[in-house]
Amino acid sequence: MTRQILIAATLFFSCVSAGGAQAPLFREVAEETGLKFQHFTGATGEYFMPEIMGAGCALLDYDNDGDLDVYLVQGTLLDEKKKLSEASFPPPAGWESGNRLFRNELIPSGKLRFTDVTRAAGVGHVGYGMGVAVGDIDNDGDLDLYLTNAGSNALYRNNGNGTFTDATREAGVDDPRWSTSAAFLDYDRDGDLDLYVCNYVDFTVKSHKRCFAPTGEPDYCAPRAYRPLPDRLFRNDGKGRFTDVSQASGIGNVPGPGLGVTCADFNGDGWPDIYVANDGAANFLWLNKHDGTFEESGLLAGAAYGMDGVARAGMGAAAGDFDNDGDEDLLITNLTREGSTLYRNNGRGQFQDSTQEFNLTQPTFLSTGFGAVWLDYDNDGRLDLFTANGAVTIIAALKGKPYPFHQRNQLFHNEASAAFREVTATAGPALQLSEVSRGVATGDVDNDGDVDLLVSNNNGPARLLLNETGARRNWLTVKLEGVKDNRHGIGARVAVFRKGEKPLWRRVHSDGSYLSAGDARAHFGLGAATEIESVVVQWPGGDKEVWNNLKPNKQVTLRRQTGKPWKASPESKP
Amino acid sequence: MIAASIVAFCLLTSPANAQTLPELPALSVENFEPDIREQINKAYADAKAKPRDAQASGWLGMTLHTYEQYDLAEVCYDRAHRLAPTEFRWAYYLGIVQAALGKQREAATAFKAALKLDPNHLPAQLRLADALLAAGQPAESRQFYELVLKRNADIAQAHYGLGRVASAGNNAAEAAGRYRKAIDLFSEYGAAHYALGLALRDQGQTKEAQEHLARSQQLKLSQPTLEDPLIISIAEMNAGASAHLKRGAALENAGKLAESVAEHERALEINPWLVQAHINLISLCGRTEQNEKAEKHYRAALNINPDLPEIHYNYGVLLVGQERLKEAAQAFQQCLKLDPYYAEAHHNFATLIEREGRLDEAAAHYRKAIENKPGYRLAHFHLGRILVNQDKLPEAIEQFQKTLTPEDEQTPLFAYALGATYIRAGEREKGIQLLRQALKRAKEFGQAQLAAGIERDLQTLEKQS
Repeated sequence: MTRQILIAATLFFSCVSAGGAQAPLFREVAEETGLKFQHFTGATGEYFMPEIMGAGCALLDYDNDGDLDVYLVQGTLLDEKKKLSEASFPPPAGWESGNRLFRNELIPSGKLRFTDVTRAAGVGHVGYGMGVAVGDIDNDGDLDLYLTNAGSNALYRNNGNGTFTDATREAGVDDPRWSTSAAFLDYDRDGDLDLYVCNYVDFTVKSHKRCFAPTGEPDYCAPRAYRPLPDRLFRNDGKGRFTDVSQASGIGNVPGPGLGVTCADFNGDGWPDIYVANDGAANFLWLNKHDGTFEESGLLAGAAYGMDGVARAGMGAAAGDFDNDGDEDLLITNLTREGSTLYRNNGRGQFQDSTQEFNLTQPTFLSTGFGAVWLDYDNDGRLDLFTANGAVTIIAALKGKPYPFHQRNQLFHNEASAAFREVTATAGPALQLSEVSRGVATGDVDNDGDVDLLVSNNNGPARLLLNETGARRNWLTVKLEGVKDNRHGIGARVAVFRKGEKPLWRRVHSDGSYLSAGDARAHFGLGAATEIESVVVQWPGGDKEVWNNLKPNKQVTLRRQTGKPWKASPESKP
Repeated sequence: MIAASIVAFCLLTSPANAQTLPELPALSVENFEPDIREQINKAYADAKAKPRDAQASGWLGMTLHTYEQYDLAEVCYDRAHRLAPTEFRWAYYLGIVQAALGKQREAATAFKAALKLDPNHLPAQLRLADALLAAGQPAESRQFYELVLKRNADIAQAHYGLGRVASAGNNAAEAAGRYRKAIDLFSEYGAAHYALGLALRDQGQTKEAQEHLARSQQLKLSQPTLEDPLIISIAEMNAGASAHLKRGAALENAGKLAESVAEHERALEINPWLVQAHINLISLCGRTEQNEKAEKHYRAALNINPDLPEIHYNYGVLLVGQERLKEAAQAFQQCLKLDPYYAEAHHNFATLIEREGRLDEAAAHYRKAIENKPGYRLAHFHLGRILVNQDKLPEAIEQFQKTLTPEDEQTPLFAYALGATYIRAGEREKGIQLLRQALKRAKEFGQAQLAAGIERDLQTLEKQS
């Protein structure tokens, strides 16, 4: 018996030490790299609804030096009559109002380090900040910023010299209502980027309502306390001006409490469609009719509701080909006790709610999800999933705590067995933080070949989660350079062909998630493959080109008209 | 020998379940409504005073359950279930809150325990099958749905559940059959129409799929009810203002206005700050001809927050009902000052100034109403009328065309307007065709007066030809 006990004890300790020795998948480095940012909600005890909803973040190479910089959206006092000292959570000493831009010094210094360049760049926009969208609106090669607010929005044009100019008025893209996520897309395939803006509900400070939890405690209102607003679509006229085509396109004809937006060719007809996550109402799938108009098709597509035909509280939206079958699937984050929704595309723009089948119902059920991104964090060739979580109403178990809304973010590994496995608990201390997360953006911040995560927290610090595992496998990052198409190839689809494997199709985009914008370049995890047969690009205008003899483990720039024309074979499914 | 000793030890220790009994949860009720706080504190004190009393723990669980404090309720029900393992309701309630917390496997275990005590409890059988399906165990779930149907083949929920099991197995044909059966048993089953629509879509039957999907939109959350006194007793314990407000809204939707007023007033007794209750009462009291009361609630709402546009909107509607049109117009204007995107206020203000002959201004407000509430049929209709009046017939036709869907009792009137405008624009055949359609539909809806008017017009047109 003594021997048996000894064996059992040995097994127990060996298990513990194996668990303890597991290297973290991500390491949180915001503060140590100079990324010091604290989100300010402006809360003064009134429970104004926007306080709990923001804010977003972006990863973009604004100075074109080859590394990703960081943009963070900030809140302010909503009630103009109040002072900063009256805030429930006053900002730290030395706090400056407005959004912040942090330049990545990796190139040329070789060290990942961020410097706050907001003032010099002129992008310290002050508003009640919600989201940010990133795109090159004038095809001049540098990235511009569109900022949404609970109030007027703003467009900042990149001057190409490290500074920006507020171009909102001349561009004609303001919306004074409560806007949330926004996305750049070339919906008319004319070679410049148009703009989709989600509007939420008609809350104003003046029209604020006091709402209560089932127990009678003051709490944040649900969206149904206000009236939903129609979204906006702005067409880029190519000369720095946009035209509001919300009515003409049909987009403005249906109001909805929009929070998340992602644009992709969902039905495989070569034209970009628009998917909008609505909070407590049917989600929209705007199918592009190729003539400047859209048709709302969410219901028949099976992407408007949960499996039971009931609307969920849609927050974030992420499109990606998680099952590597060549089409864009959808992941929508929802409220606690709803769980996220995974819509699997059959290639024709018809979706099945496959949440249960892929083992995502149970693990997401108690989280209120906001930001959501597909990323192949371990470069094994399959898209994994990260969700940024945090409640919007008081969590009963956290009552009495100063900010009782925090939850853990979640990481799910895409298993070869066609299911997701939650790996949050073993992903390292960075994933054990319990905060009120909202935005998340992806990009390879340290240029080491794997995808990192930038997370924005409501009433909390920004977090930079460096990927510590992906670079052990092979990878390829593809940057596009459009000529007839928009300069960064937003909306293009890129495929990597490997010997004996299904092609990997990825979309060039900066949209999706929640209030946030990620690096638009297409990243491919290649697993053990050390050779690439070919890379195919389907440009936004529809043309397809192929490049051969590309090597893995590097970033390549593919310029339009430098590849060979490509025709799809039946198994390569464009 | 060793194994036998362990078993004996376990058996000996099992009656002392008190040692494994979970502690009563710590409560933080400071900010709760006073009535609710008192209710919970009382139940808590009782449970604390009688730690071995299943009823006391269970009652606390029910009290927390009704206010959606599921985590805390789960602990209390677990205690009650352990203390009185032969009492059905504690196992049943435990399963319900565990399912609400997404703990489907645990919920299934609890429902199984409950069903051992009352094998014929239909709601528990269905909840067990649902929990198993949600836990990703469709095969076991199927067994329990089938068991329900063996005892009573007319339970629509069980057919719907079997449809979902079939859908999970990618068997669209079987799923469609099950959903159809569920709809046969309860034609207003929103979820079944939705699921059938998607199953038919997957089989390429798009037209029928669209019909069922459209029906699901009309029915939304409508589903067959199952008598469950245990659930009713939980709901009845809720003394919160929000619950009264919710019940008030449901009663209003059911057309029970007097009862709805009473529920709203009860909500305000508990929480006088519940401005939404005052806002709703402006309208409800107006509709039940209690104008003085409506005025009182209008003033009370203003005292809480005079900048809520809905207050002024509802007050405007109230004043229109009293023919105090000038004051009503001012109320709508105030609403629009606070919220320039308030479509209904634009619409109502437009109808008032149209009466004064301010047609261009009215048309502008109708347009604003449409801009802010796409698909606003009445606004399209009234704008169309003004455009006809101004002889802008193609534009009027465009507006009237937007009033034809969805088809309902308003459609005959709108189709009549469109038809008449076509005739006026010289498109006689098209117009007559529309008038005939409008007449047919008006008769179907029993709209005798409208039908008579259309018939008169058609006769005149025939005489002219």
